[in-house]
Amino acid sequence: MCSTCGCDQAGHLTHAHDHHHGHDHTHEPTEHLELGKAVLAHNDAHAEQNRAWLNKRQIRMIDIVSSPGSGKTALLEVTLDALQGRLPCAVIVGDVATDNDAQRLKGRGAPVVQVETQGACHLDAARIQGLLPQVTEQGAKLVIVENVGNLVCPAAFDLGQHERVAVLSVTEGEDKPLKYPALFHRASLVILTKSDLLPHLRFDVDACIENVRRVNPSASVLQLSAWTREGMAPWLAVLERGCS
Amino acid sequence: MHEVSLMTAVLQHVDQVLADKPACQVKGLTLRVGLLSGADPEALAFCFPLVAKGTAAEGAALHLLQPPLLLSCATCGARTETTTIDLKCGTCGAHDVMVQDGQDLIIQSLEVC
Repeated sequence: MCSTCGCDQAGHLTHAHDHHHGHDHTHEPTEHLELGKAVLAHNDAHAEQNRAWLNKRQIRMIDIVSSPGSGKTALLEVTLDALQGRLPCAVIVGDVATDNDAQRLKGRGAPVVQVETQGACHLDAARIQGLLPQVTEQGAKLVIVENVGNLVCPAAFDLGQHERVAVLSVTEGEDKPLKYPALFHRASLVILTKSDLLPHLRFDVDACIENVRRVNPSASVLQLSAWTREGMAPWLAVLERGCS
Repeated sequence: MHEVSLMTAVLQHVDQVLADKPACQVKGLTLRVGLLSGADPEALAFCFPLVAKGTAAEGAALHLLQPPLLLSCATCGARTETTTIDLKCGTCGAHDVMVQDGQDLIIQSLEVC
């Protein structure tokens, strides 16, 4: 097809209708290239390499995603404290700026690496690949990635994790899974945090779980409070079972 | 706004495709934006001219297709097409469905000359 006039044949100058313009442009034939190529194929290839690297060493990796302020770091503080001496862990923390989260997580028995993305809204598999040897050199059997707080962008980027965990605090609203379906669709586990605040809120837990089901019928849902520790045992069991 | 990263990746693929055709210009670029891809068509369209500037795709027409989600039901085996993200079987109503199509951002085709 000519890219200038749209005729089917380059050089095709005759047609039935009449008009007031000439045919003095150059007919440029265009070539149609059918690709069907996934845009994130490059990232996905790195992610598969990461999974293979981890599997060879019998190391499990989970990616924790949520909005900013949902309580990911608070959850990891009590998780690392509880797993000390039970399961060797390592943590990779992603934030746009500051190492505040890494500072909070250090001294709890697990090596912690902070990634400052300098404006990027997500971690990608290549970035994780460069950190895995370093973060696991002390013998970690579980690598926990705390992704950049964002319910949109991290969804599409497979890091090579074995499980993706979406954290949703009960102060955020029960319709978040419907508003951010790509992220909740890709999580195998959804954790409702800050459950100690439920008596003070109008958050409908059953409606939230139903909303999770609508975008991700197979996801498990846990409810806990990192503050009171209520509900922590099933979460710790998920982590330990995955690494046994 | 990870659409800038995504569009940058799109144009890297285009560069690879055109590696052996250095004189080629892209006239048209068609993307399939899955409903569950996490990419926003409007944001992709917004950043395309900025990211494409100075590349073989500068000035190209961007066509964004958003096909329906394709679900297959594990309970009754029926297939369902839906344009809303409510993952249940259109035949038996079960939630036990697998998404067969609609999770990815795909470079479908190029028109080059």
